[in-house]
Amino acid sequence: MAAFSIRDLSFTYPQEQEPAIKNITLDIPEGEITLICGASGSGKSTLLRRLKNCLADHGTASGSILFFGRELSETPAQEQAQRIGFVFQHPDDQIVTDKVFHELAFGPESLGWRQNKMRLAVAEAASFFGMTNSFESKVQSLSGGQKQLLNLASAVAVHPDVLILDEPTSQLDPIAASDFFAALRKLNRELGLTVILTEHRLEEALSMADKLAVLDSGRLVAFGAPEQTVLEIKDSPLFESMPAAVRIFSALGGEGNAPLTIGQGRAFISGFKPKRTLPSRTAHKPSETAAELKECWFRYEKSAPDVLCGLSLKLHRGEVFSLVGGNGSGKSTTVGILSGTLKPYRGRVKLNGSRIAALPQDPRELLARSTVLDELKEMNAPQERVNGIIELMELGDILKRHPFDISGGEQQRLALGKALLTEPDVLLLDEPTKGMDGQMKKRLGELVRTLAEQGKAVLIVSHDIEFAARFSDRCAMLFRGGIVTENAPREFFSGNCFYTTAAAKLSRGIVTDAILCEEVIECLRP
Amino acid sequence: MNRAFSSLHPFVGMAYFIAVLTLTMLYMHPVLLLISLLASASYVGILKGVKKLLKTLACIIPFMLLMGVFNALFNNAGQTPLFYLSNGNAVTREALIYGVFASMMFAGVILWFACFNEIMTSDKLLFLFGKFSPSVSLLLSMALRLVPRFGEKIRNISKSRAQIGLGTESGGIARRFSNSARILSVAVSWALEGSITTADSMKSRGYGTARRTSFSIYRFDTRDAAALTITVAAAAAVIAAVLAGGIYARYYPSIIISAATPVSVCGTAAFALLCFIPHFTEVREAYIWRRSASAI
Repeated sequence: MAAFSIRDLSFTYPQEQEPAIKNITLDIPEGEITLICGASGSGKSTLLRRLKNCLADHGTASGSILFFGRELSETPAQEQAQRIGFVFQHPDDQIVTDKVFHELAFGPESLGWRQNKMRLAVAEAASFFGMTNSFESKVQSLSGGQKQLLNLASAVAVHPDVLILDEPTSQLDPIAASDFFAALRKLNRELGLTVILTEHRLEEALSMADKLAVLDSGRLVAFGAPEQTVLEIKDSPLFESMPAAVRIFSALGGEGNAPLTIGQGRAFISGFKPKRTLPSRTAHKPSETAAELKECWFRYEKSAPDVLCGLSLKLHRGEVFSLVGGNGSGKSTTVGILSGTLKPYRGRVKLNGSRIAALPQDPRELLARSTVLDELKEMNAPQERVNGIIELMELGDILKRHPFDISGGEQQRLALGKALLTEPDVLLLDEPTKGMDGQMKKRLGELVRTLAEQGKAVLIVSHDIEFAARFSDRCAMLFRGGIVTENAPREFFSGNCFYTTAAAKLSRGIVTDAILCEEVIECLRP
Repeated sequence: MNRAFSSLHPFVGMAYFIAVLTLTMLYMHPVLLLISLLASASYVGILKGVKKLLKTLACIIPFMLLMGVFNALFNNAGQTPLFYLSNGNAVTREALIYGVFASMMFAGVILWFACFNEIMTSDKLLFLFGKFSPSVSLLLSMALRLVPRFGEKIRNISKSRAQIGLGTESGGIARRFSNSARILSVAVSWALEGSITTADSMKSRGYGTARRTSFSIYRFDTRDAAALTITVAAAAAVIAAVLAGGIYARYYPSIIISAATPVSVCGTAAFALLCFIPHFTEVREAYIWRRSASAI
């Protein structure tokens, strides 16, 4: 039986002409993982929220949704609350209470469960997710990944039949995202929980999905087993966000089921012989140094361990430099040191008179006015410069909108525009691709390249290896407060084994030095 | 730290502190005050260490002296003048003595509250609130989460703005002031934005669909029952002794303090028992642990 049978569902937001979702007909099978993908604004969240009445947006809806064979709207609110679990995007905002155990108990408490039943449910959830040690901890003390696992555990504590997750890992680093997917897979495989999920991290999510649904501008364009469905959207821009294995398979004219994982991809290309070698990239000419760190040491408190241990790096004008590394390796601290908000206790920061501007992880931290135009005016820059930024950042259509009503990508471009109005020589970007889909990343990457061509030195600190590989001139890996290796992207990523792009992992030993999908395809294409 | 007394059920802890605080404040009997002061001071020592106790006392003692002096100077009730001030007001023996005891009571209450803070953590208070109103308890818990987050957000925003030259430390006074106001405004918008998701999360998890219950990590076992019984019995014995006239103190116009009679001795002993329950619990727990450890 289908967990949800969606029939001819359309929905239009108030005061909008165009429906957000159009004539969607879809059966979500019980006990399986259904992955819904689509660009930002394609209606994924709108669709998910319609699957639980208390979250459905206001507007005009038509069509019907059956939940286990019964009209969803006829299912009482309390039953929906118990049987349909929902996990949202931001780990922090959806946590209600201050302690881990209290959060786990929030659902059972709201449903009015008795003490004994509640104790068992909370104990089970905490044990299943390995939270017994942090049971009485403050939520505040957990990492982002732990918080999102707590949200998952809290949703599962009331024993739902269906779990709906709206981009649950978009705010997490890669390791935390893997842990989250592992927990999700365990819930599905061991407890038979039906999972419906939207994601931008397709590389991982796709391989565990049983069904893939693709939305484009509110329409369902493909649905079915992922191995076949991915090939149906070959011509859509969304295809660029598909896993490396799928893209290579399709470009090389593979037939049958598409490989989804790195391993399957390797098996597929092992039958190919490289036809050509990669042209050597023009070596980057080192230009004027815009900022430099010399053996900087830093710690946050006297008794705390050092976060930076003798870090040295140089930023050149006209160059995009990516600093990659795991959590706690000191990436954000490096940004703080360069921007002058933190001072190293040993070592030197040489700026050579360069002006520095930094963009925070959450661009909303820089937005404080009531319209987009006012935001830009806040910087007290001459009108022609403001106009230039509006054009460069493509903000022309949204000047009158409230900065909190525009999309995440637009918010980031606006914040970036504000930072650029200070006419910086050095631009620091902290995790700029967090929560972005493939198209948005591409746009950001192109923007960053344009800025570098204008002569700015750009530093990107990020977990996003694929982005760094594609758009930087130089990459460095930060580990325990110091740089381990530093090189041009090709040398850097083809030298790494684990910490490298999917294309490099997939083609290791078959194609020399390829780090991007296009490169693998170029070498193997007949 | 999880001390023996703090591992008791929140009901017991709450009943205990209500009893001991009320009895300390209600009857200004010198012997009771002395017992209460000794017990509270030594328990602060047990809970937080002798160093912390000395620090606390160093803060309290000047206040005690000040209270005593003020009462003697400004309160001229009482019938035994010791000497006269230049404005003609008398400093009486009664006022002086009352001042001493009042400051002892004040110190005792402060010290008991120091213990209260240590034993009755926010979790326990939330649990007790939850018993009579789950919504109040939830509200408090949400506030406990929101307040530190808000502070953190303000710090982040001000750091981020400083990085593009909108900091609170650059520019003229007017610009600095307007930049500070902006930071607050961003933090508020952010909090409102976040609260939409919080509200969704609450609705999604069934908030408001049923009569709310309150989860408890506490269990009321025989140890709790015993401690509660002793607390209630001791407090009742003290009150009975007071009602029977055995414990009595009056300071104005003349000082009358009840003498030692069998009733007053029993009442005082009961009060001493009450005040030293936590100490007894700690010592007993330590003994039980040592005995069981030696058996291993």
